Amino acid sequence: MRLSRGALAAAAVGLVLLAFALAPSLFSPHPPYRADPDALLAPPGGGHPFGTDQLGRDVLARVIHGAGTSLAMGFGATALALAAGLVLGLAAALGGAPVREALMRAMDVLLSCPGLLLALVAVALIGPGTTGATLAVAVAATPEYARLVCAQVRTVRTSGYVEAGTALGQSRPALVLRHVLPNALGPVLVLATLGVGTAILYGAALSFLGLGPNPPAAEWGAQLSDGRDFLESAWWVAFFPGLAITLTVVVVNVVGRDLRRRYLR
Amino acid sequence: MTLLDVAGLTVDFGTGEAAVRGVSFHLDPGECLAIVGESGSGKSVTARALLGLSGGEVAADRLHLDGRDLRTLNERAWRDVRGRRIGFVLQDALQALDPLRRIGREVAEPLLVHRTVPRGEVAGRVRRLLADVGIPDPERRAREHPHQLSGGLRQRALIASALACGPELIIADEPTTALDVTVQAQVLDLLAGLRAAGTAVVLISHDLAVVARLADRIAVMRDGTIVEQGPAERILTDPGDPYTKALLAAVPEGTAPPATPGPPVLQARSITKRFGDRTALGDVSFDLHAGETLGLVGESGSGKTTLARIALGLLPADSGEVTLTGEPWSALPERLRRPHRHRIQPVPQDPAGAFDPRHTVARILTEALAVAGTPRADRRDRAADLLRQVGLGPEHLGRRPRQLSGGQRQRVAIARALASDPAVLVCDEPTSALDVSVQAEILALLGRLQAEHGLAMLFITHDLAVVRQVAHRVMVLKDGDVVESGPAAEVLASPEHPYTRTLLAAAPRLPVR
Repeated sequence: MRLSRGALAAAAVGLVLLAFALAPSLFSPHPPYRADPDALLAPPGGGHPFGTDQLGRDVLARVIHGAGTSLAMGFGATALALAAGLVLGLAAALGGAPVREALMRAMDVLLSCPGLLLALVAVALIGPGTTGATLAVAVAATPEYARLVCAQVRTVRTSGYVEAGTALGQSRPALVLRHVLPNALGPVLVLATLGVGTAILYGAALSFLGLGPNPPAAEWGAQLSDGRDFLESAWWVAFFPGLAITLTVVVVNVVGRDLRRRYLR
Repeated sequence: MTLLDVAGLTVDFGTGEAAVRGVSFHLDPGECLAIVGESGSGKSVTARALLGLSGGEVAADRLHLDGRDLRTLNERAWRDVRGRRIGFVLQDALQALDPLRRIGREVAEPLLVHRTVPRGEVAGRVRRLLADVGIPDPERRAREHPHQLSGGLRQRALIASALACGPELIIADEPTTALDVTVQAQVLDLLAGLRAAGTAVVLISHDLAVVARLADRIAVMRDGTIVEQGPAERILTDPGDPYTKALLAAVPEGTAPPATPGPPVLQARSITKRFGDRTALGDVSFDLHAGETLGLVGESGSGKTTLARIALGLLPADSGEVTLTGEPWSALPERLRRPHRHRIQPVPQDPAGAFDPRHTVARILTEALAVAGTPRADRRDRAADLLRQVGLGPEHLGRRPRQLSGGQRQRVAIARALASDPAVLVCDEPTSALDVSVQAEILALLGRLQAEHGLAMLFITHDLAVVRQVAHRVMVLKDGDVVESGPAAEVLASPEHPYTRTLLAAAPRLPVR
């Protein structure tokens, strides 16, 4: 099947963002930390296409350099949540009724809290910083994956082919690895592509609240927070990092939607 | 005068050849025309075209209902015809009834849509309709939801809603396929009663024996065209077209060739199983000998599949014991049972669900061979050899399950079961999802493999004609109890238990040729 036009455009934007994240210096017009005391809060134009912030740092440079941290937090948190969800979901689905009840009721309790609140509690326990915020976002996202993995595994486990494998005399680990997991994973991976967008937003939100990467590190959420005080006088400080966050989430969602159409018919 | 007059009906979905081509038939009031064919023959598309629901490009030389030209109808006019002039009964009542709606509301729907009776009289009419189709206690049933009704009652409710506005034509698309034989007989009797009262019936079915009971005339469809059409008696006893002959020949008939049973390989002693407070099996015992087929007969919920799963060691029994070739089997812990699992293999009802959809036939078979301990280097050749045994060529090795037809899938499932050189095959309704001609092939294949390998077979089916053809001995289950067992010829010829007699009386049979 060919990609839709929207998905192609999204994939192109995604590639650009990825390039920014991997090699920011190649694209950045200025170093991200160099302050220009003569150009505080300079409007977009001239040598600073996106303007400068309150310390005279180039906003474009900081958006480009922030891509790495922001994307790493989003994708890292999703990967961690996916891994934890897989382990918990598998344990719940295969461990018998008592294990399942205990794990799933615990997940229910976590799911009953808003995700951001959960992330805030987690970051309070783990401590702020890039790693802390990533872990916190992962904790907030884990229950969803655990639930879906558990439900999927339980469905696939009663399928005809798993029964046929059992009747052939295949061992349980072989059945789980060869048949149950691969067939249960499709919808989980699609959820993960959608989850990346949420994770990036949560990461940015934690940074915005000052619980993410420490200053002066470039990160979109922190930049947004910096620009908050100048929204009326210098909109560009907050606008461009905000645009970057929005674009990323849209890109990830469009690609995720395409994947979902393809694999979850 | 002719009620329905169809000439040169063509339905095209724009996917190469038209799905229905040049179909012509006519129908008088009080007459039943059966359209018979296998999957993909175009019979259901034809039925839907009569309701303006085919979804394709419909063309016809004539398409008249009671003198009115249906070709010129717009969507609004069609809605007026549907339900009011033509009633439509679908196959699966559980899917055709809205699960959130009470039965009474469902049956009232066409009355409210077409406003054929004043609002105040709708409730009374619904009760009378439900009573007319033989639903006991219609007052109570009208207030219930579809899941609270048995399959037979649901199908009757569906027929009641098709009848609500008193249509002069009923189109029934496989109305009894999902039902047990005794319930099927009741529904067919109900349709016969309608026909006698002057309603015309178009009956769509894959089963010649079912239509034999009801049809005045039969049209046999294949690949979108009618290959033969005529009075039911002539079509069934003296068919002209080779395809009709092949269809009739494929209807299971005759008895199993005599077997020389070897030593017992699978023995069950006093098996019981309860699910909650429902008894699925109450004290079932049997012996299955090498080279012999034991037919397990019963209606849905009789405990057939539960017994099969216990025999396969997939479900623990509450009490009793199963032994395999004289050794403990059901009593073993899974760890000790696993090395012996290859001795007893299942053949599934739905082969489509029995394969990992991501795997190719080659991988499906080599995996089974690997578990059975075949050396890696030999597996590919053995897989091709297994396919040859079930009548498939090596070109199928690279295919995935969804690229195979239903019959080919079942052959692959049998090949997989044979990979581990089992002593026992447990076949759970292995042909009930297949067309009758494919069913005949699969039954012949199983018979040949049994003779070649001396296989013992536990053969589960609801179809008495199938069991008559394959089984040497028969065991009849009802509500978890064995009501009768013995040599197949004896049990099926002179049943002793009333339930067996009911089953036999309800089973559709072709007229003797």
